[in-house]
Amino acid sequence: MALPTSAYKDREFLAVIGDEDSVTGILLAGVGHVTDPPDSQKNFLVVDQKTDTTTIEGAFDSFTKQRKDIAIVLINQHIADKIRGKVDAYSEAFPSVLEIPSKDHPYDPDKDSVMKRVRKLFGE
Amino acid sequence: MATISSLTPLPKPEDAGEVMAELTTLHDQLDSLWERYLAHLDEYQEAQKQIQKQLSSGFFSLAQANFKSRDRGRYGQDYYDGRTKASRRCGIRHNDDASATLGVEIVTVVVDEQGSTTKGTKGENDEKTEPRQQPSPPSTPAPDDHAQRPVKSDAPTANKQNEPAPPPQVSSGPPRDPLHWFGILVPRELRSAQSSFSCALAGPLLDAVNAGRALRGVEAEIRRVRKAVRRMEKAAGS
Repeated sequence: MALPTSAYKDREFLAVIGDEDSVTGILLAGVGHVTDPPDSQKNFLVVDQKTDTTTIEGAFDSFTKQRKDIAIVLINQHIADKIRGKVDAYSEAFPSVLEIPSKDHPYDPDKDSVMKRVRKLFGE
Repeated sequence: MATISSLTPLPKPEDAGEVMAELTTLHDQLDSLWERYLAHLDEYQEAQKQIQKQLSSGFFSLAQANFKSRDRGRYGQDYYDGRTKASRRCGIRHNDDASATLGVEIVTVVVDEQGSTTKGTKGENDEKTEPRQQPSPPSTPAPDDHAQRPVKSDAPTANKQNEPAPPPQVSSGPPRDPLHWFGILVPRELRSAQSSFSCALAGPLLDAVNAGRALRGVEAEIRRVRKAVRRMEKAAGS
């Protein structure tokens, strides 16, 4: 079914949820954006050992449901594991969610939600 | 007692033939969908491999830059600009096939001398205007920018000298190169990291996103055709 233009016409930013090095790298590519005051919403979240799961979930919900200007959400796979239920259940057309490796956690296809859907389809 | 054969009419030979023909068509459709699905799966897996490669190179360069500048601190969130604007954004376009899913591409935002923004696409099929080089900002502000505006004649004279100068008009300027967050002279390794991440963003990251979207689209069609096949097989069996 074709998506209406309204579903994606304002979506122009990439969002990133990752550790400091991943976010720094992606921001170096020119992706970082902070909206004008008074909102001043960032399109990135740096996750460290002190960041709790509710903060990560909040950022994920903000980028995927509340904000209408995000087209792609990049999330480190090891951080996606902390909110695996939400990531696996996500099935909207926009924004697209992509799991990316981090410096210390290489990409694991067994954990990737896209590959899980593939295996499920093969198994049916 | 009525027998089963008298209750349910057997399909006539031509109906059975039609059902079989329909089934064959559906099976062929399913096969071609599986071909497309496997092609997109291959694209996705290849893109993930390239992402791993590019990002590893970027992380390595970033680690080298951090190692070299141990005395000044990590190149990290302490230096992020709280007013940064994205210079690379997504441009969503329809594919040639009307029934295909949407694709995304990185769009570079360029600001010309008049301050208006234009978006240029960077890609293999770019037919739009090429992005122009960003003008370098003036080294010193013009003296007239900070001059006070003329005070109205009917304003109370006692407060004229105490009134603060009106704030200069601030406009969101051209997007700043994020490298400048970390200082004027940045190490070569940090530039190399920026190059790796930029290449990853424009190439395999977008490929993986588009392949993932295509997989979802074809998956939905496969499920639909499978359902139709099961229904038809049930009808043929009865």
